[in-house]
Amino acid sequence: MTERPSEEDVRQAAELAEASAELAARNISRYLEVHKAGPMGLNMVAHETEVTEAAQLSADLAAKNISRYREVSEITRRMQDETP
Amino acid sequence: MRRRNVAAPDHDLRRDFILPPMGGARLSSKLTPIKPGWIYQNAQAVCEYAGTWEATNLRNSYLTALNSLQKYKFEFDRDGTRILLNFAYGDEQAQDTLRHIMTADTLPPGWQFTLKEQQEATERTVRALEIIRGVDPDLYSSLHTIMGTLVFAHRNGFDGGSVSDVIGLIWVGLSPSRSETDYAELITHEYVHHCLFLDDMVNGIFEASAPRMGEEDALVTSAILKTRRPYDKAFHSAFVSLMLIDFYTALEMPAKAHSFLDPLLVTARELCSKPQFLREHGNSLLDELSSLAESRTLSAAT
Repeated sequence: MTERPSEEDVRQAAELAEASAELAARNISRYLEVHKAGPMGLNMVAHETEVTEAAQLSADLAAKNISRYREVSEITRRMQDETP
Repeated sequence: MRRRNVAAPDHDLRRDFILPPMGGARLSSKLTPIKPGWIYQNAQAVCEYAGTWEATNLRNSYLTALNSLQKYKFEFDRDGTRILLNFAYGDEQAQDTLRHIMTADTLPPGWQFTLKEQQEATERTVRALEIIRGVDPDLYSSLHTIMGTLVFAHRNGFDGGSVSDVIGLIWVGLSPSRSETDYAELITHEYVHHCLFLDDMVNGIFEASAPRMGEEDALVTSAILKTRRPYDKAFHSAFVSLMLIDFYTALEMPAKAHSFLDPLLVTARELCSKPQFLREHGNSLLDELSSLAESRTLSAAT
């Protein structure tokens, strides 16, 4: 027969669930803010594209994201500063 | 007038299609970020955060949550589980999203699929989804839980893509002249990115910021492009590669599967040499990936 969990077990499980939800909420909040300012684009280079051309296409996209990246740097730095 | 989305028909095109063999263990049972149970748990966390959680309909709750949290919205099938196929004619919202994914100010000339191409691309996509179902029914189910829309548009040099702030929508640029297997590969490839976006959102994979991961000492050889790329993109590429190895193994295409293996090992080793860019969860995923990649080497050698 399965033993009933004690009140202490139930309390600890509830605390754990709450802590886990709080952590997830912090992670989600951080992700949304960081990726809103500097989204990570993953464009699939066409199969027939030569490797050198593919690298150039990727580099072009990366260059376009530089200003966004700078914004992300600032946001991330701010968030890190605010993290207790 | 706004063009309606086309929902991928579930049955119309299945009559003459023979499902591929299963080919061993299911892909979705191997890597934590793509395990259905893990995905559903993560999706639930997003719903609870957004206040949209309804235990009876995870798909609707999750896609509604994404639309409430993300700037770029997308339509989805609220009455069923079909993935919408959107060719974006006259659909300003979808076109805006396409420009965002393509990182382009304007859509390129000739971006629209012709009516004939729409029909062909729809057929290819439906068959591709059937291939995925044949390879791994669990993956098919979780794909249909977390993916709302495929948006189609041509762009020279690209087959499609995804972006981390538009989770739930995939851009498909693949020509309809390509095979349904290529379509299945593209959907599987992009699906892995979406699983990783979701896992990163809920559990936190990366320690460093995006700009930091783009600096010279953080670059890692990508398992897909085989060029040096930011750490986070190379990390994604490794998971995609492993998934595609198993995808082609399941389809009994060993040469194609093997073509992903050596680049994956290079990427996995380089990623492992820079653990400082990952949080604890990210490092745990990387350990899992490395061990699975090594096991593919052993099975390829025997």
